[in-house]
Amino acid sequence: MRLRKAREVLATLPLLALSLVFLHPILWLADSAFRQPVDIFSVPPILVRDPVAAVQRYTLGGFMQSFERWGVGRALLVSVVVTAAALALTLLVCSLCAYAFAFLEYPGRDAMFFGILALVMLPMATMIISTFETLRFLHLDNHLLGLVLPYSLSPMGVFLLRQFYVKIPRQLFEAARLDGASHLRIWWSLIVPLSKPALAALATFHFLWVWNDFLLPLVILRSERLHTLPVRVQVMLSMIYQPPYQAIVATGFLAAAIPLVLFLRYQRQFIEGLTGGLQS
Amino acid sequence: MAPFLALVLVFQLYVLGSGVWMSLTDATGFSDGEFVGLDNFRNLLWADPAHSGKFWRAVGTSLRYTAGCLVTLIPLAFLLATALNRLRLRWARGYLRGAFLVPVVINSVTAASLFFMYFKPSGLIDNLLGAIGLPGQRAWLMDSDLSVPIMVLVTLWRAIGLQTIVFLAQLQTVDPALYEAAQLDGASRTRMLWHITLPLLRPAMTFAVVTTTIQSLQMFDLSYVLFPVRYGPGGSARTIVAHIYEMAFSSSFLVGQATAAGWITFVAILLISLLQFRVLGLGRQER
Repeated sequence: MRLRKAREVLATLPLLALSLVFLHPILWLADSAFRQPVDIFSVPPILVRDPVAAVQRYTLGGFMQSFERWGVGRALLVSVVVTAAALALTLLVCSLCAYAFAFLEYPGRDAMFFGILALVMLPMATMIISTFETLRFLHLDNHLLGLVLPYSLSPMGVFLLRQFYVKIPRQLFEAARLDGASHLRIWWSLIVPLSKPALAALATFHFLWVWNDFLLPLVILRSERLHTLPVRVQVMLSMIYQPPYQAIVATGFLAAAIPLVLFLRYQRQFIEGLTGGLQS
Repeated sequence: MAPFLALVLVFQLYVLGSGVWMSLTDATGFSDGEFVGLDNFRNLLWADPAHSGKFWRAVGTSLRYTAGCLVTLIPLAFLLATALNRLRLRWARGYLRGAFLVPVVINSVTAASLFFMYFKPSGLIDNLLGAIGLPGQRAWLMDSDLSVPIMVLVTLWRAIGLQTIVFLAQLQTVDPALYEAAQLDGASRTRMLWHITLPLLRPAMTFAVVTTTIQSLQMFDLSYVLFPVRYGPGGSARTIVAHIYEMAFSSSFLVGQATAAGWITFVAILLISLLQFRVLGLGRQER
C-alpha cells in the first residue's frame, strides 16, 4: 500500500517539474514587476541567489513609472470601463435576444436566427475593416462606445444563450403567460434566474475576450488617451532604443493579475466558460 | 426585445453588407472608391504581382504557423491529458490542471512581451546560456527562420492548457472496463491507444483540431507585438491578418483590397474546417 502511494507521488514528479516550466514566465513576471531594472534580467534570479537582499530590494518603481510616464492609470481605467460596460450590455442584449428567439413566435424568426448563425461563423479578420468603417460612419470610431458596441452586439452570445433557453421547459413559460405576466417580467424573474449558469459561462468567456483583446482596441481607439492596457504594453515595448522594461513588466503584471485572480477564485466557471463557449 | 434584436441584426448586417460592398470597390482610407467588380480578388490572387506576391507570402506564413501549432499542440495536449488522467492523487491533478490553464487567461500582448524579454539580446535565455557557460547567445528575434517557430512556441504555452482539459474531459468518460477487457484479450498498449482511446476521443480531437486551426489562421497579435521589427525580420512573421491590417490601416490604406483579403481568409477558414470535419468525422457514429 505504502509502496503504491510512493509510486504515485513519484509519477507526478515529472509533471510537477513541467508545470514549473510552464508557470515560470508568470512567476518571473510577478517577481519582476516589483524589481529594479538591474535585477530584472539577472540569471540566476536574485530571489534564488540572495533571498534576503531580494526581499529588501523589492520596489514599486515600475508601477510609479508606468503611471507617471506611460499613462497606465488611464489605460487601466479605460480597460475597466470598457470591460464592465461590454459585459453588462452583452448579458442584457444577448439574453433578451435569446429570449425572443427561444420563446416568442413571430414571422421571420427562423430566418433571423439563421442570420445570427451565419454571423457567428464570420471571423474578426473578415469583419474588422467594415466594423471600423461602420463605426466611423456612426462617428463612434475613437470613442469608448465604439469599442463596447461591437463586443456587446455579439451573435455568438445570442446563439449560446438561445441554445440554453430552448432547453428550459416550455410549460414554465406558458404557465407564467397564463398568469398574465408580461414578457419582460417573465424574462427577468423566471428565465434569468434559471439561466444563471449559462450567463456565468458567457460572462467569463466574454470577460476574457474583452479584457485581453488587442486587435479591436488597436483599430478603433486610435488616440493615446483611449488606449487599453494591452495596447499600452505594446506601445511601450515598441520604443526603439530602450523599451522601459521595468514599466512594461509592471503594466503586464497589472493586465494579467486581474484575470488571474478571478481565475484562481472561480476556476470551475472559467473552465466551463472556456470549453462550453468554444464547443459550439 | 424587438429593439435589441433589431440593434444586433441591423448593426451586424450593416457591417457585413458594407464589408461585401467595400471588397468590390477601390476604396482607400480617404475615399469611398468606385465599384470595380472582382478586381480586388483578381489582383490579390494572381493578376497584380506587386500585391499578390506579398499576399501569398503572408498566406504561406499563416499556413506554416498553423501547421506548426497543429503538429505540436494536439499531440502534446493529448499526452498531457493522458498523463493527468492517469494520476490518482487528487490534489496533484487539481493543481496541475489549474497550472497548465494559467497562461490561457493571460492576454496575448503580455505573453508576447514576456517572450520578447526571454528572447531579446541579453534577455533571460541569453543570460541563462551565459550563466551555465554555454555559447549560443544570438539575436533570436532577428532570425527570420525562427520567427514562425517562436510564434508557435508562444502559442503552445498559451493554448495547451485549454486543449488539455478538452481531452481530459472526454478521457474521463471512457469506461475503464474497455481497457480491462482488452488487457484480458492480450492487447498491447499501442493497440489499446489506437483501437480504444483515439476512436472514443474523436469528438475532442475534432474540436481541438478545428479550433486550433481557426484561431491560428487568424493570428495577428504575436505577429505585431513579439518582434523588435514589426511583423518580424524581413516580414517573416507577417500573417494574413497582419497583412490585412497593414493594408487597411498603415502603409497603403487599400481598404477595398484589404476587405477582399478578409473574405478570402474567411472562405479559406471555412473550407479547411469543413475538410477537417469530414476527415475526422465528427458526428459519424462509432459502433
